[in-house]
Amino acid sequence: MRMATACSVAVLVAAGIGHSVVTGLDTGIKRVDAFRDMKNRPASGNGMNVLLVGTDGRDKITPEEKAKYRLGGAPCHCTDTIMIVHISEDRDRASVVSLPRDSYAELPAHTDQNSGKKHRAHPSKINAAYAEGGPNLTVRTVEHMTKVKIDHYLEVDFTSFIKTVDVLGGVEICTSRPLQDSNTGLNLAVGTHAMNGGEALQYVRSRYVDGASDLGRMRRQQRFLAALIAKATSSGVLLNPVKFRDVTQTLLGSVRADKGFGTSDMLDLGRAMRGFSPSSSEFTTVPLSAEGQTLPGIGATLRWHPTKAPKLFDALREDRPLAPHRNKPRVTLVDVSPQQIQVQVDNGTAVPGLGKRVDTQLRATGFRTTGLPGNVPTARTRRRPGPSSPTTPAGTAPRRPWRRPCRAARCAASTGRGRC
Amino acid sequence: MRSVDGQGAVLKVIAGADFKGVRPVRAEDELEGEFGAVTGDQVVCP
Repeated sequence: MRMATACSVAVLVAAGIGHSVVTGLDTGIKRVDAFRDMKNRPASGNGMNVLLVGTDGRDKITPEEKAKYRLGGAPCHCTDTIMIVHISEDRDRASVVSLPRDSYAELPAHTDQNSGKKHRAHPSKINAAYAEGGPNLTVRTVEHMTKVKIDHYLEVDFTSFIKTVDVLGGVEICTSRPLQDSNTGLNLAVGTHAMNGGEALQYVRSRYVDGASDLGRMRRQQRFLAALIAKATSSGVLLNPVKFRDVTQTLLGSVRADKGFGTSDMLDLGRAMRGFSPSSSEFTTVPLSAEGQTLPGIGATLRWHPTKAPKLFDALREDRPLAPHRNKPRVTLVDVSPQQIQVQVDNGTAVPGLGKRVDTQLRATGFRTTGLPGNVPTARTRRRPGPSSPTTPAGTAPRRPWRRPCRAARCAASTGRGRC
Repeated sequence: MRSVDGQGAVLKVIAGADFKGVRPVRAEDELEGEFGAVTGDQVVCP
C-alpha cells in the first residue's frame, strides 16, 4: 500500500532500544514542512495523532521488481492511502482510522504547489489535497474535516514499503477466499502466505479483488498492518540492537516526515510500547453515508456519515478506544456469518456427551446447530477443511482432504475443491 | 463457505477423540461496537 504501514512500525520498532542505537538515524529522514503557516488548528487532545500517507513513488525499485510486481508506469505521486494513527496517552493502544481516497473533501484555500495558482476553498476528493498542495494541504484538509489535530506527518512510498517488509523478514497473511487482481498480479489461494515486500505490496494495492473496491483494499491494508505489527513485536527485532538498527535505518532512509519527528519521539514511543501486541492495535474506516456525491469534473465521491463520523473523531480526540472492550476469548473474523450455517454434530468417539459439548460450543459462537447430536464412529474430528470453514475446532484440522465423512455434509468451500 | 447446488445446506461435524474446543468466530461484515473497529489479534493469522 502506498503505505503508512512502515511508519507505524518505525514507531513500534523503537521499543526498548538504547538511545545510542538510534541517535543520528533521523538525519537520514527526508523532511517536509507539513505544518507550515497553519492557523486555526484544532485543539490538542490526549495522545498523539500521526497522519500516515502512502504514495506511489517507486524511484529505487529495480526493473525486475517492477515487472514482477506490476509496478511499471510513471508514478502519479497520488495519496491512495491516508490513515490517522492515534497513539493513546498511556501508549497502550494504537487506533488506526482509514480515510478513503475518494472521500468528499473541502480543500481549504491554498496556492497550488506546482502552478502557483491561488485556489479558494473548494470541494474535491481528499487525495487531491496532496496533488494540489502536498503534505501541508493534506494535513490542513484532514484537520479541517476531522477536527483532529495532527501532531506528525509520515509518508511512505512503494520503495520504502518493500524495503521495510523485507528487512523485517516478510509478513504472514491469511485469506479465507482466493484473491486475484490482474492489475497488480496478486494471485493468492486460500490459506496462509509468507510474503516478501513486493508480494505484500501487491496485496495492499489490489483494488479489483472483489466488489468492495477501495473499501476492500483498506480492509486488506489494515490486515497487513496488523500482520506487520505481529511480526515486529514477535520477531525479537525490538530487542536486538543490530536488527533494530537495520530496520530503523531502512525505514528512516526512505520515508518523508515532518521536521518535528525525530529520534526522541521514536524513543519515547518505543519505550512506552514495549508491551505492544496485535491486540493493542485497532482498525476501522471512517463511517460513510449510503449516498455519495458526484462533483462536476471530478467524479463520484464518498460522503462521510454526518453523525457517525464526527463521533469517531470525537473518540480519537478524547483518547477513547474504538473497539469494544472485551474480556471474551479471541474471536476470529470469517467471511460468512456462522448464523447462516446449519450444523449437524455427531460424536465419533465413545466419550459420552462429546457430541453435545461440541454442539453447544458451536451454537455459542453462532452456528445453527440441530441440537440433536448423533453417533458416528471415527478417529478424528472432521469437518470441511480449509481456512474458509467458518470455525476451526482447535488443533484438529484434518490432514487429508475431506471427502465424505458423513452422508449429511452438504457445504462446500468457496474454492469448490471439496466434495461431499 | 457457500452453499452448492445439489449438496444441501447442512454442514456435518464429527467430533473425534482429538477434539479440544471450538474457536469463536464472527463474520467480518458484522461490525461490532459503535465504530465497527477490529483489533489486530482478530485479523492476524490464527
